[in-house]
Amino acid sequence: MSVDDLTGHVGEWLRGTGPMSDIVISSRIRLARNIVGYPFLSRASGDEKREIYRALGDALSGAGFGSNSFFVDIENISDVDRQVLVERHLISRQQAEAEGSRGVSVSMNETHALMINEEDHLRMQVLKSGLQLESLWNEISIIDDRVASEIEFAFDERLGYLTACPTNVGTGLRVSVMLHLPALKITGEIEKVMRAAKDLKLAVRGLFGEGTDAIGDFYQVSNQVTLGVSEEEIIEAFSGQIIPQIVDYERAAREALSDQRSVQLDDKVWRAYGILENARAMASEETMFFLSHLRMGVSMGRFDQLDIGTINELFLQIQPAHLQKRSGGKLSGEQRSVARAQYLRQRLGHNN
Amino acid sequence: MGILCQCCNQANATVHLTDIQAGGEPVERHYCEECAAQEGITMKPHEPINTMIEKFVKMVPAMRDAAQLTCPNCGISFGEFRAQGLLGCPEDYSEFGELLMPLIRRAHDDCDQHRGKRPGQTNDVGKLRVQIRSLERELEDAVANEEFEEAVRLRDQLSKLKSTGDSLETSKPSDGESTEDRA
Repeated sequence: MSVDDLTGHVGEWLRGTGPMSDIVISSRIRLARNIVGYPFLSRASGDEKREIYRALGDALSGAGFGSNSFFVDIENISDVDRQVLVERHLISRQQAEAEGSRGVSVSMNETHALMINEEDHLRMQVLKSGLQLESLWNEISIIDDRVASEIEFAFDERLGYLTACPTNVGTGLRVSVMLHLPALKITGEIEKVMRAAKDLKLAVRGLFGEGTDAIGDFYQVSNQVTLGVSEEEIIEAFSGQIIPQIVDYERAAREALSDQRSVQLDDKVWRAYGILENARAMASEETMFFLSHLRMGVSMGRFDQLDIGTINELFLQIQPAHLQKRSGGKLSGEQRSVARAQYLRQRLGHNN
Repeated sequence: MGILCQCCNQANATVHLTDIQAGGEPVERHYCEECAAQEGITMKPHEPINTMIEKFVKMVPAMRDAAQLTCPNCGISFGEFRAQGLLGCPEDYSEFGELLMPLIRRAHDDCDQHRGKRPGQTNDVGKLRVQIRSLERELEDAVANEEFEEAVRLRDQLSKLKSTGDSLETSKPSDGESTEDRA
C-alpha cells in the first residue's frame, strides 16, 4: 500500500456516517509524546532525528502496528504525495514541510495515523466521521499504552507528558471536531459562536488546522488547555456540552432559514448545483463555497440527487494534490481549475 | 496632561463618555480607569494597565538575566525558547522551572498539576473515574430531590466502583514495566 493507492477513495472520516454527521464532519483526538534520552526536534541533529525515527518505528512495529497498516517515509516521497497526506488529514502541514527523517504509520481505513518526528517525537491521532469522541479516546488510549510498553515516554509527576511546546504539556491531548456551519454563516450568527468558543478557551480554525481560514464553512473546534484536566473531562466537555450546543445553534439557524427564507435557501442550493455541474474552470475556494451550499441542501433534505458521503468525497477530490494525482502530473493553478471543473462535471452533471 | 477624573480629581481621565440627555443635550463625563470601574461603567480589568506595565518594567532586568539561562543538557537558552516558542529537551522543564511556570499557568487556565493518565496506566482506571464522577453527580441530585431509595442504591453502586478502582490503581504498574518514577 502506498500513497498512490489512497487517492481513489476516501478515508473513514469523510464517509458522512456517525452521530450528528449532518453537521459534525469528523472527530479527531491526538496525543503528543516524546521519548526520553533525546532532545525535542528543534534541537535534534539529523542523526538524532534518524535515531528517533528508527526507535519509534521499531516501537510501533513491536506494539503490533504494521499488520493492518502501512508506513510512509515522508522524507523520501514527492511534494505532491506529501500534500495528498495533508489533504487526507493523515499528517500535518508542519510535518509535510519539515526536514529530516520523519514518517507516518496509517491504518488501512485511515482512522489511525501515528506521526513520527512532527513537532513532537510522536503524535498519535485517531480520526472518525461524526461525533464519537468516547470511542476514539478508548482507541487512542489503548494505542498509547501499547506504544508505552515498548518505549519510555518523557513524563513528569507534576507536569505530565512533556512536550516541545508548553501549550501541549500535561495530557498532550488535543480534541478537534470539524463542523459544517453554513446556516450560522448565512444568518451572521457565526461570530457569536466564535466569541463564545474563545471565552471557553477553545481554538477555532479552518479545514486544514492552524492558520487556515474557514473555507467551505468548515470550522474545527479544539481544546487549548491540556494541563490540570483529565482526558475524560476534556472529552466529556466536548461531547456533552460544547459540540451539541453548537450543533443546536446550527440546526436552529437552518430551521429559521427554511421557515423564513425558503426560496432564497433553495436558490442558493440549486445555483450551487448549477455552477458545479456546468462550469468550465473552478478555483478551489469557490468550489468549496458552492459545495458547502450543496451539502447544506442535502443534509436539510432539500436536495436529493446526491448523498452526504458523495459531497464529502468531492470536498477531498477537488483538492490540488488529489487533482494532480488523478491527472498523473504536476498542474499549474489554471490547469487545476480546468481539471477541477471537468471532474465535477463528470461526478455531478449530465453535460460532459 | 489631559483631563482629570471628575470623580477622584487625581488621576488622568482615560474613560470619556458622552450622555445624551432627555432634551438632546450632550453631557460629557470623564473618569479614570479605577473610578470608571467603581461606577460600573467599565469592567475592572484584573490589573490596571499601569501596574501591569510597572511590573513588566521591573521584570526587565530579571528577564534579561533569565534570557541567558541555558539548559546544560540541550544548550538552549531561555531567550531562544521565548523567540521560537519551542523547548529544546524534556529537561528544560526542570532547568527553566520557575521561569516557565507562569507561562504554563497562563496557557492552562491557571493550572500547574497534571491530572490525566500516566504511562502504562490502562484505560480501565480512566473509565472508572468517569463512571464514579457521574454517579456522584446523580447521587447529589437524588439527595437534593429527596429520592432516598435511589440515593441508597447509587451509594452502594458507588462504593462498589470505588473499591474496584482502588484495586486497579494499586495493581498498577503491572508486569514490572517501569515507565514511571521519573521526575
